[in-house]
Amino acid sequence: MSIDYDALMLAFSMVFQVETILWMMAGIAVGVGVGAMPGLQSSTAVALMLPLTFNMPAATALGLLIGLYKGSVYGGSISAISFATPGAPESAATVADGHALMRQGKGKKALHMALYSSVTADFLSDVLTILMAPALALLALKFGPSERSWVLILAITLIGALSGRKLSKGMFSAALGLYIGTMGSDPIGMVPRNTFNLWWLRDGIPLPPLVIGIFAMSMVYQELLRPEVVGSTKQKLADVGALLKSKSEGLKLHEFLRCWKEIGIGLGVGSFVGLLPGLGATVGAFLSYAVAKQASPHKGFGEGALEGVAAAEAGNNATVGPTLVPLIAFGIPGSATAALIGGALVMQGATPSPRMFTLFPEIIYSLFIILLIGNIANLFIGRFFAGIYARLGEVPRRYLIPLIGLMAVMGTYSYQQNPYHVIIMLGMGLIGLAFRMFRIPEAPLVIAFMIAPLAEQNLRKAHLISREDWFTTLFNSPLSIGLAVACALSLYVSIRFQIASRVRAEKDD
Amino acid sequence: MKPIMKLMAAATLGLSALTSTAIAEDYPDKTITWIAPFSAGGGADRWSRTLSSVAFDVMDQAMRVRNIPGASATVGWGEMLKQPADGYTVMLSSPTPIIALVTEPNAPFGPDEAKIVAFISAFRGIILVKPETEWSDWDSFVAYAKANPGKISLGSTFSEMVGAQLAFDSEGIDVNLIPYDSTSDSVTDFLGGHVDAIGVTESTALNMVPEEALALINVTTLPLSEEVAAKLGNPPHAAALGYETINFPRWVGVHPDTSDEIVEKLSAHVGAMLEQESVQTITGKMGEEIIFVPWQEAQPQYEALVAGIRKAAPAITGK
Repeated sequence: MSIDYDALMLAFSMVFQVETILWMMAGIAVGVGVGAMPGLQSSTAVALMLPLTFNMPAATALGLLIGLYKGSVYGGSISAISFATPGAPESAATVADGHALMRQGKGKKALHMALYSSVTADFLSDVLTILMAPALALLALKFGPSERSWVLILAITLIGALSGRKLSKGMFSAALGLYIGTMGSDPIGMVPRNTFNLWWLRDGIPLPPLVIGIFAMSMVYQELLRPEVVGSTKQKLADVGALLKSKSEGLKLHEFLRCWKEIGIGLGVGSFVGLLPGLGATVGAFLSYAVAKQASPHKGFGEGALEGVAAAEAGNNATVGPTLVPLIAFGIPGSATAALIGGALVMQGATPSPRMFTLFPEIIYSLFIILLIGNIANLFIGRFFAGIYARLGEVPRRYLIPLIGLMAVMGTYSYQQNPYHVIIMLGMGLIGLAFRMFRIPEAPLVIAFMIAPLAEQNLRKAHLISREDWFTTLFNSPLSIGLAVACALSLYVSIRFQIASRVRAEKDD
Repeated sequence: MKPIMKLMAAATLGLSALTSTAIAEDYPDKTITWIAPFSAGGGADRWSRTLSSVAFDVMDQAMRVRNIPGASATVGWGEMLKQPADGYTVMLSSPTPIIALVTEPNAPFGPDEAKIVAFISAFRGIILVKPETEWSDWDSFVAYAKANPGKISLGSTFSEMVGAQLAFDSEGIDVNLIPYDSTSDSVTDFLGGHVDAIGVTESTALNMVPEEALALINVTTLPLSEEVAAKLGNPPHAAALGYETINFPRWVGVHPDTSDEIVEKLSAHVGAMLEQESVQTITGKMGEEIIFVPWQEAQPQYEALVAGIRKAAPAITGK
């Protein structure tokens, strides 16, 4: 790809306008707020602000929308850490370590780590996107239904790593996730399954109510079972006074640098996942977390490790740039948000297509510049919000729990204004409560729930394409065979990891 | 029936007709609830909000847009059926819920439970193949498919697949149908060479022809505009070849028991909204084409759409 310097200069002049920079910062600020609100996702924020861009110049419109996108992906981690309520499903992987740190009084550290790892991975994945967009897009095309099935099976083999020491509990959690994932219409024949004859379950269980129920509502139920949550007025006033005086410590440079390996894993896994259509930031976050945990089992993942926050947040933010690759290279949006950004480009008269680099180079370069400087703006605006939320997260439990309950209900309802989703969320909260009581890990449930329908869909498509020949379905290309070998290796490593951790546990006992 | 009873029945009918005419004359005299049965930000939502922005100018009453998504847009439809048949609850939809209702054995209501007010837009379905294939036109595609039943694979979303399957049925050919959730997924697999052909809308086809694909045929009732047809290499039109075809409309509907007078008036209001300059500007920017079909013509076209989906569904879902 040769650089068109005239177009590049034009793009710089388009982006570095006061109007564009201000709208981008407004987008990030609104995005962080929207992302922090459970149920409201980046695609919702972009959809709601899209009409504002109709009369804006192209670079300004892109500044606002990319700002919203970046801000909301980071914003999801704020409520995950502060309130154990993932603002968006992609932040669910951050809850375990992030909120544990908050409860240890290290909320500011966790929020800063989430911000810095998000921005670092996002920036580097954007550079990767800019340098290699056409090549990456061609690579992504090699992954057809058969190859994608193997990638998803590879993800399933990592569930062992998310299970902790109790593999049987992890498998139970995954099995339940698998079952919930099959609810609704089957992806090929549209036959309803496991819907208990409830018509409103035809679309199955959406991810936001499940994640909010499992992670946030379960905590509300658990706290409500403890009588000490309700305190006296005098106590409450004392709590507020203490909160206003409290000053939690921020992240130190050496603590950030200590997590280079986890950020690197997040960058690699997130970028790869972002390239493939349909997987998205949530899979990126959980996979990155699982790989990082597998790579460093001794770092105490799940118990308040900064490394856990770094891996999950780097994993979800690294998907942002690569998600735009298919849009830039072929005019195909790789996610709902990318589709909306594509819609904004259509409004600007620059319809995304394989000829975009030739027809609208200044718009492509503007997009690249905005992707990069958006990270810097995100850093400053995110830091400001982190300070506020770190204090809010330290609000005493007796205030925090009703607030989390309210946010969970409102956030679930605002997702699609569907009251049935609130019922689902409350039900999922009960499952989450049982998981907390019996110390069953939640992550295998979420990852199996997400991956099972995708794996089924791709496997059945591959089966139809190969005209129902299983051998061709599974091994139709050298890439499929390579991925099958990778799955076998991952399974082997997982089993070794489990055996080693059991031996270590027995020694500790 | 006794004469007195006949008289009473006639009087009741006459009174109800008079009341209905009187109600229709005042219609609308309060805010209309406009259901978009999809999430905020999608096509139906954008159309709804665009029309609601001019509603007051056209009919002196506001239109309140409510997004009621869920169960393939049938939750919003069900909500409309729960409201009185007075024309104050209206829905803007697409073929999606019709497909769901046709393919679901235990559907809570049928796709005929709506009275059509108007079509406001429609999209065409185009079949694309790779430029380097041996079937560079529709005739050679048909000949190859007849010689090699089931060997060609076609990926698309359900709507476009219905149109494609009707064309295949008309020619008596067997093509391996691969259902996709979204056009972008099917386009990705097509570009990667994992499926041989795809069914897409004309806007997607325009992005891909001629570099990435060749347009084989327009499988919908609506012909392409001359400009678009030329850009796509003048593919044949299934309707002109005498095939069974359908349209994929954005349709506006109300409760099936709504009186014809109210439907007629609402249809005229919708037509007037579409003529507003701001609506034309915004829909043009959205890349959507205004195709207004009033209620009398839209109703039979809607019934043909339902019949077409019923006919093609078994081949697609394997049921």
